[in-house]
Amino acid sequence: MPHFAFEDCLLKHYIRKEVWLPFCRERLRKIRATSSRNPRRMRYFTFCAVGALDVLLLDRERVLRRSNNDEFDTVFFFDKDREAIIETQKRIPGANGFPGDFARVVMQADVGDDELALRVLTDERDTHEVREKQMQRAQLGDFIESFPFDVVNLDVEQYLYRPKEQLPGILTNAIRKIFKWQKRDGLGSNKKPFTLDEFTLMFTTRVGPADLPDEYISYLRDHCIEKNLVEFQELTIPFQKKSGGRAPADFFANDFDGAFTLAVPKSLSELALEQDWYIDDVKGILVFQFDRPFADGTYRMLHMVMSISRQQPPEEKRAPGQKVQAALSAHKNTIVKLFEADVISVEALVQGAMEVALKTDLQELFKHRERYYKPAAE
Amino acid sequence: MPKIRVHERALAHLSRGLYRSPASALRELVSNAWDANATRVEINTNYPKFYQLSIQDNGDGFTADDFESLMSGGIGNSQKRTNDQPLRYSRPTIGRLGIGMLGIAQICGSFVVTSNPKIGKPFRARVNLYDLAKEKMDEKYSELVHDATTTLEGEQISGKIVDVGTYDFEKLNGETPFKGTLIIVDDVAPIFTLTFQESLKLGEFKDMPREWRQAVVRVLNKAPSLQVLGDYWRLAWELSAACPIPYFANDALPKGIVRERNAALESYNFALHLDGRQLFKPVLLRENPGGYTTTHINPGPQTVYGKDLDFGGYIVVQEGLQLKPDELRGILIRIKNVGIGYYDQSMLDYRFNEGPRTRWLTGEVYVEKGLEDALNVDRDSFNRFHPEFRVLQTYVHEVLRNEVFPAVYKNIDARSKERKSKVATKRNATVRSVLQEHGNRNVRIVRRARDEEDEMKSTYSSAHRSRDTVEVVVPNEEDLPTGKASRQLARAILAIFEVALLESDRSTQRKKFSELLLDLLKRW
Repeated sequence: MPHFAFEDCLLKHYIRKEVWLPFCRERLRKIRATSSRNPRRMRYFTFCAVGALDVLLLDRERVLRRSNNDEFDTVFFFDKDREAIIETQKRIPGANGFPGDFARVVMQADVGDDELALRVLTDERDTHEVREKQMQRAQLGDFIESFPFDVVNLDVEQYLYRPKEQLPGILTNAIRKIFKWQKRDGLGSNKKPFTLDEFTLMFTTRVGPADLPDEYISYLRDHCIEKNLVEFQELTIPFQKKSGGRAPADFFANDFDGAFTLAVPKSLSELALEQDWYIDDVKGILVFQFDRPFADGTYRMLHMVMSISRQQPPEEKRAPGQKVQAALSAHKNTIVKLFEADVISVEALVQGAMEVALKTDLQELFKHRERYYKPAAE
Repeated sequence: MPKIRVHERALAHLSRGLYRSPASALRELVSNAWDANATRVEINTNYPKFYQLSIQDNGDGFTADDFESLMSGGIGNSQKRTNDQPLRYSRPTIGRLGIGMLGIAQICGSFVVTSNPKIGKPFRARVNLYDLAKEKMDEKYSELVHDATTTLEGEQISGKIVDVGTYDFEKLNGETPFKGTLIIVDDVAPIFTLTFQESLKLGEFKDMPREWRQAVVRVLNKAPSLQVLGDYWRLAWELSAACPIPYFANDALPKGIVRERNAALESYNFALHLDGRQLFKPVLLRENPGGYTTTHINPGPQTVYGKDLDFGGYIVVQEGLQLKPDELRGILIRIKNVGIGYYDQSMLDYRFNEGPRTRWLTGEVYVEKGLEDALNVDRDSFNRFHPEFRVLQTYVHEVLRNEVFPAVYKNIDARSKERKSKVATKRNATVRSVLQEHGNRNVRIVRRARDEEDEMKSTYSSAHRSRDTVEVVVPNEEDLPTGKASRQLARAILAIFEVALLESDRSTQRKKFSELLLDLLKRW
């Protein structure tokens, strides 16, 4: 089977243009609403891949604004492929590229701030291992300093849960840290300090794997579905509809994809609540899916988009054990919405006029990209 | 007769510390790309993080055999490519010391080379240089040094080779998205990253514009020195100054003095990009109010101890205005278009003190033939006692002494006279305007004719009024027995004094004089 042309995928472009873009526009509108004079520019974190099409779309649509120097200085991205970092920076010059394994960098053991800063060491020799450790810590320090972001686009293209990892998995813990660092004070492009009350999270993962260990299945089944069914009676009917009348265990056993696409967004909502955030229940979590050809057949991509707000008052201003009712209520509403709404199948949307329009738009986006970088002809 | 020998340990040490700056090490890789017929070289620094560094070219690439041979004893032993096929676009072969690829070891512990050659299959190799290599060389010498036989100009010679590291080799079967060579320095020394990151936080640091021309016009040509702009600017400037790339245009320097040189550089079809911006030589001298003095360097081919030496170039003096940045002043020597070191501010040890005028001078000497033997091993400096260097130095000094600086002094003199005349005209206009605004509609100020016979008289002034015109006769400045700086003011005061005396009584005269004097001083 020939290599899949990720860049030409219209289903993915639908997600970019029809889902991510409106959410980012809304985010920009809110940033601008906070300060009518000299508002800061949007800060964007992404796993954009070499083509950087998400960044370039937001650039073309003037949602992401470049610096006076024409640089993407408010864009931050990770890529463990060193060549990919180089190619990406050609296409979005001035963007902050971290050449490392995101999860590995983020999940380093906690050390003091002074350990995160690059410095001349006094007690260790200049060996590869020491340099590697120093650079990884420095990347972590730099990354933490970059927070908070208005939009976090975790387009990871891999499994959220990997069988070899202990529950809850590296990625889940990395997201935990992201939620934590999103509470940091930031310095805007307008040189004014700011803190975030809300941000947009776009999370992409593969559905699966099919051989997910029991401890993950139990977590998803018991904690993300069954517990809610017990807690909220109004979920019973929507769940029966979704599961075809099956019990949660049967649902996982007979319709893994269906159960997974319900449980995973739910786990994100739990994660947000745990970290003093909550998912805005007006839109809730929008969940999209499409199938992508692969060497062994196809795999299913799950795209989730949501707006996340800080609990008010924030934890540092609450008494121990005090809950924020508005956040709990939004959390519940989000869960109800997840149980009631169908996962949106992108294939059904990208047809006819929409397909033609996306194709044209993608070509225009490729052309827009050449404004920054045009690969030399052979 | 006993022979004098150099220990190979000294040579092995070179693999970890040869160049003065990252730009010098990168310049060697750029030169390699030139010799590999590349038309485009892209250097990426991972700005603004500097966690890795890469250099990619679209040249001929290495074959796996070339690479393995280079790694197993070829480094430091490569012969200049004079016998190889001529380069494309009629480029002169730069040739190299052979340490080129390892030169980057100065700032890293390992790097990855990926090459997709025009002939042969692509491969990737990770080169791991030994940690603490210099210590290891001193402590485990016998483990690292081996006997070897190599071929030099067809003759087999025995020697020693030194282990400086290891490499992992991988043949690539799939598509490699480029033709040429890509070197990624990922194990960058933390101090390199730290230094570059810190340089972005300097008080005088400016964001580098996306267009290099804008960077030169808006920032470099206004900066006193690269030091205040920091290491990232220095890297860009040094690369653009040293590499064999064109000027911004044929008229980047005054009077088209690099026109032919630039046409030749453009014909080589070689472009260098740093973080997405195409670099050109960082010289753009235009619009100096004092003008420029330009001198060609063109002694013609010569022979020095039986070897050919051929060079040419230019010297430009930016009259009356210090060059910016300061690093642009002096003379840069290029061999086969590649800059050796930096602009030499001593002007190759010029022996005369020309004062601040040396801060106006920049020049380049392009060596087409010879001088390579005078290069020190760092390729950044010369052995100043080498006869070829001496010939070049003497010629340049003669040009400076006999042509450049005499012309500069002549221009200074002319400018000084012109400036004085302008000031005098302006001051006369001020006096006239003061007098006019105090009720004298028409004012004529005339210089008193010189009276050789009566020197004292020539300092007298006078004023006459006829109808609505006042004619003031003032002495020549040169005749006034005051300090030079006060003569124009003295003459102006005498003029208003005479006009005040035209009033009818002493009290009105005093009042008038006060008014005129205060107004004059206010506007002086």
